Amino acid sequence: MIMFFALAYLFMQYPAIQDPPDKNTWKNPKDDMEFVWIPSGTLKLKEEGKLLRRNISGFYMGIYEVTVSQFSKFVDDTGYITRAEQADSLHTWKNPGIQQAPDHPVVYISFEDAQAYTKWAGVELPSESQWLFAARDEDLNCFRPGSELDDHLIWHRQNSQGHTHPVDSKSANRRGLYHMVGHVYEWCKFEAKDSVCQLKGIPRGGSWTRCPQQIYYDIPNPPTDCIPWKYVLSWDDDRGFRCIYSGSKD
Amino acid sequence: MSKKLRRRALLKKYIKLIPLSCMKWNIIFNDYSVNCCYTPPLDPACFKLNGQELVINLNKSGSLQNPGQAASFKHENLPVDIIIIHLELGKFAVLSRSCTHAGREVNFVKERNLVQCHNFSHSTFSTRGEVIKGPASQPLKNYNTQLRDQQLTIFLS
Repeated sequence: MIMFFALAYLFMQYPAIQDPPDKNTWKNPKDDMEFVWIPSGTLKLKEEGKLLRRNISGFYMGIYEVTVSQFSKFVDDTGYITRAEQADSLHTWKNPGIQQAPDHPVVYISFEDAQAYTKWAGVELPSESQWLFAARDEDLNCFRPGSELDDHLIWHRQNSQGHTHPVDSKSANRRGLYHMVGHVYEWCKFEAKDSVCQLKGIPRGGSWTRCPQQIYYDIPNPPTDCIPWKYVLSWDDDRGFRCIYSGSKD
Repeated sequence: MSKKLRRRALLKKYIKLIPLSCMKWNIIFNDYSVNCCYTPPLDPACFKLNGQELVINLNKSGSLQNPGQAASFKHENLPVDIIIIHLELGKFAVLSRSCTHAGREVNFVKERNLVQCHNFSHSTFSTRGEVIKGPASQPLKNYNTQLRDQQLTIFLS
């Protein structure tokens, strides 16, 4: 009987151990960002009461958010000036007004800044669908902030002590990604349903400035409907990004 | 079982779930310790409004007795809503509750000892009402207070 349960337990664990992690990762030589393979699958979305399915091809996703140190290297290489700096904003990624260190996620980043970085690094920003697909766990449920377990995964207003933290400071989700939920909003490419919509990017995932309840309601929402671009604030102390790489696994 | 009976059984099952879901809703939205975006209103039994003076009996106010607590107040005779913050023992801050950027309500963030707008762009202010981070550019209005014998008087003019 014990043998049976032991074998059943091993069988349940099998999908998680069939692919050694090192085969599923890729490191970008440009910025040393590590990526993990997100296998293809179906993103299930509830939209106006209907269950929609969207097929997602496999892709590599940045394990961590882009750090201050990595962004600094990009700026050193290119001389890039962020939108916040161009606008003479009181706070910028260099002077964020909150406690930060080189291994923290870079903030005060606009969608255009994030795109410039990805161009330099030879990678891309995720689409909203790709981001949602990667943020959800294997059962395609969402992380539910507020429980004891989630506090191990999520930086939010009540546990962040008023600033960001190292990009690997909480546990990874089941896909091996850190801080998909909370910590900083991550810029995603907006998938326009028609050519009229001018919205380019949309931040997802909640942040260290948000209450657990606000994050909870942000995560399950399906891709955003078109809203005027001017309503999406360009940069802030909780806007960062992570990258994807569309290269083949083989 | 006929379709009608099955429907009734299903309805009974869901009716049983209603109190449970209400309880969850209550925990999420009405408990300040759980929902940090919620500032409870001032208990109606603990204050008197005399013209432009709001007098709060702190002995009766459960939401303001301890440092770190905050309460909101709105009244039809007042042009603006206010937020009352118990900063430290015997020290209070009273600010306008409408963010100067787009008019959304602000809440006290105990963990950071500041006031933050509920809006996505979350302008932040010190407990004296000064702007710490935009997009708001104007400070929140700061009201004078006086504390005597556990009676907090707020001068709203």
